[in-house]
Amino acid sequence: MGIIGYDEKSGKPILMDPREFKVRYRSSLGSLEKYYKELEVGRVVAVKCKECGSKYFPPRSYCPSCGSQDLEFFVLSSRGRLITYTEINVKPQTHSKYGDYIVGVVEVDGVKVVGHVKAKFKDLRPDQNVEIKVERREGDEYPRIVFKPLD
Amino acid sequence: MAIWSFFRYLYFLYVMKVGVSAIGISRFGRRLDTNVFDLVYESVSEVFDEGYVSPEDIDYVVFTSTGFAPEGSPAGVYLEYIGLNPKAVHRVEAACASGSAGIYTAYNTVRSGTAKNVLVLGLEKMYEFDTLTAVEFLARLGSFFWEVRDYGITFPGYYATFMTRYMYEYGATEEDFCLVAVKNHYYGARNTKAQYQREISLDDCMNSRYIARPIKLYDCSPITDGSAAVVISSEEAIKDMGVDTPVWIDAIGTASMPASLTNRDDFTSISSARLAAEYAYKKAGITDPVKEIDVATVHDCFTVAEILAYEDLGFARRGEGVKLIREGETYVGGKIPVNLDGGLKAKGHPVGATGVAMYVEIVKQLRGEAEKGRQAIISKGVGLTHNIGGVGQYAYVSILRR
Repeated sequence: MGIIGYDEKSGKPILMDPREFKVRYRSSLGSLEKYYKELEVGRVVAVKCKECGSKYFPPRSYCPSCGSQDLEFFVLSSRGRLITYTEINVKPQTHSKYGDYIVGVVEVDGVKVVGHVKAKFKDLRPDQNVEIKVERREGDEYPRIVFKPLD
Repeated sequence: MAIWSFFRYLYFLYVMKVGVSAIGISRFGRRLDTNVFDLVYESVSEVFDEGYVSPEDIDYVVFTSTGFAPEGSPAGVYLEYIGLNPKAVHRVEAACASGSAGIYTAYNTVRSGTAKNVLVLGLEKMYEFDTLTAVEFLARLGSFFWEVRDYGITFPGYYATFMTRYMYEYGATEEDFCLVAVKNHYYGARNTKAQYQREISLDDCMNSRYIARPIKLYDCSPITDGSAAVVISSEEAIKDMGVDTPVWIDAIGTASMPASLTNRDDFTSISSARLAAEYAYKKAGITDPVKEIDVATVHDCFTVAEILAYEDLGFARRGEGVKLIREGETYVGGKIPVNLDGGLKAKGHPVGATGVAMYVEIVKQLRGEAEKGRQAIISKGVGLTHNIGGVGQYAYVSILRR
């Protein structure tokens, strides 16, 4: 095989790189360690500012409303309201091994959380109530937030 | 001396006009026929071929792209190829609004008196890798840490959350959104630079497969290779170079909003676009946009985004954007013609070049140089560009005047 490849559709000459550039991110957690520790044991946590009471998800280490750095974690309720959702049919490279999945936004305890909705797309409607859980996907060690319709 | 400097400052800020002196755009599409260097040169050569601006007139270059180039820092490499060393250059990035962010940088540089002529050069060659990798790259323009990595949301997915909620709140249907695709393909068919120069039917769109349900393939702008270039110039430079078709920048409004879905209060509107429009209208003295603007290009990366744009720009009231498309009011001859170049949908969306390509289009429209069948009637001499990066984390609205 020569170094020039030819595009199947157009027949145009393409230089194929014989080497692949792989990336795997290593994200330092710092103050977010607690969030993932809780997720590992099945709890979803958000934070609340001890000074002004503002609540945040995802968790953060200072309050942009009042500037305080005194925030505490709290466990979110297991019931929320599905605000909107979409079924991902064409997946990004890193999720291409999975079947179609539904991503939803759920309001709970005054914050919004993103997770996977376990339901058929046609059975869903905005504003319905859902149960919030932490589950591991089949063949996947990684815990994730899932929503199950209650009505 | 100090007093003189102060007046000079006031002159640049409040008196001197800034305009577009030259434009250029490559053919958009799956451009496997050209290497990336020549793709850049395609738009730059058009700029200089117009005959008003020569390479020596350029003081400085702003390069706009996102992350598709194999080079970590493409600006210097491509500037070298087009032969503009030793002019200063750097890259500006704001996801799909990178082009407008670059123009904003050029506009402010000219306004400050630092440069007379700034070349803004937008490029994206997105077919250099496979589709799944492109989908991954685009998804990572969103909120990677919390939403993309673990939940695999894609860019169509981000906009689909808006479409779901919009349909629920306002009773819009998937057909309504497909009407936008039909319109934009109608005009793409009349644009010799467009990626898709063919019309489609409502059925073609309705029968296309889901990409991020309820968004279908024909609701989506494509993956595109393309480049676009404009020269932003001071009033003085425009007079000196003898530009007889200048288009003036009346205002550029820009604003932001959270990138994350979790920090949004509203899934039926892009608040940053509303703020950018409000600022631009105020500065340009526009009170009734539909009556005072001849033609607009809006960021239709997905058909729902065009409907949201109608409302965010004040062309329609909240929830009534779908009425405009149902009644054909955004075609030539309607209340406010939108995306007569085919939009991102049919012209193509080389993300980092899109904002620049929008300027190219509005300048063409205001000069009366658009192809037959897609030229708006220019009676007020005013055009608008609306360019969104991410799902509103970057928003730019420009008002251009002949």
